[in-house]
Amino acid sequence: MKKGISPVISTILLILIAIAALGILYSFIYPLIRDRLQKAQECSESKEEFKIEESNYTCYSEISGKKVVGVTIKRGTNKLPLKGLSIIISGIDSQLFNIEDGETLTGVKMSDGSQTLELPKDGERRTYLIETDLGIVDHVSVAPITESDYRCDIISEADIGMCE
Amino acid sequence: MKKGLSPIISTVILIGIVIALAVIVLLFMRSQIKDIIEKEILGVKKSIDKFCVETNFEASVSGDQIVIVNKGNVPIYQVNVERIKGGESKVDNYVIELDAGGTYPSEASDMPIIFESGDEKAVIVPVLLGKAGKNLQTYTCPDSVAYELDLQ
Repeated sequence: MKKGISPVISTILLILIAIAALGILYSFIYPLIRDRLQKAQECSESKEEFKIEESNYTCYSEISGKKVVGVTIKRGTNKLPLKGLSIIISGIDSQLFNIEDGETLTGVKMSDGSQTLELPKDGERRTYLIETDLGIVDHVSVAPITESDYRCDIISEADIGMCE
Repeated sequence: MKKGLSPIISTVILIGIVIALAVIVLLFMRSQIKDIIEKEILGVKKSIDKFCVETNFEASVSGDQIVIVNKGNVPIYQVNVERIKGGESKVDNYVIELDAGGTYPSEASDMPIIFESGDEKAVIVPVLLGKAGKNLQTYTCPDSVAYELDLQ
């Protein structure tokens, strides 16, 4: 006579073990991918949020041997909550400036001379004046900073020349 | 003698698992997809962004005001007016409810769209009113259909 657990019990046990295994896997793997998913989603939503305007104000001038780069940035109308934006000025080397609402940053001011930086509001544009030590400046790019303090990839860029 | 779950029970369990998975996937997808805003004009119903390219309006300056004329068939619910001055800009929203052929402002009670001295340019972006499900919802058209008005 064969003895052991019945097939019904063994099936139920198998299902329970499978569910428990999935639960354990989920609790380990989900936190690992959650942050990446969130960042990817935030960055995907904000890929049209800032655009460098190739206006008369996006250019550089030389004052006392230093270059002052003007960058006009227009914001989209998606009403996304963003922490800030990064402006990358480059030539042979590059320099990065993180602009956040209400903050100050050495070497960066608004076009009206205000030291307190302001992000463009929805649909509006702002011009930043940035002092740089770079010898050659010919390119500027911008990347959004999400609320979770993650800098996304560059979403807008432009070549710049000397102001007329 | 064979023992185990009966075919009926196992089929019911399988169907239950499939339904549970389908519900999970459906809930996930619904959270990812935004509501589509639709609009109907003269019996033609389509996604509201398709109507944006059909907007046809003109803006002009009269004194210190901006006057908008809707020359197309798409009613314009609101305009977002971006006034640009020296590399900075400010956006104000005006609910104008401008039907085909209409002019804004047309009555004394209409809020005038005023610009200030020194403003170089105004960019006027139309906003349309559509339906997302049963709810009315506005849709801001892209800058590509905006009207640029020189103010100097």
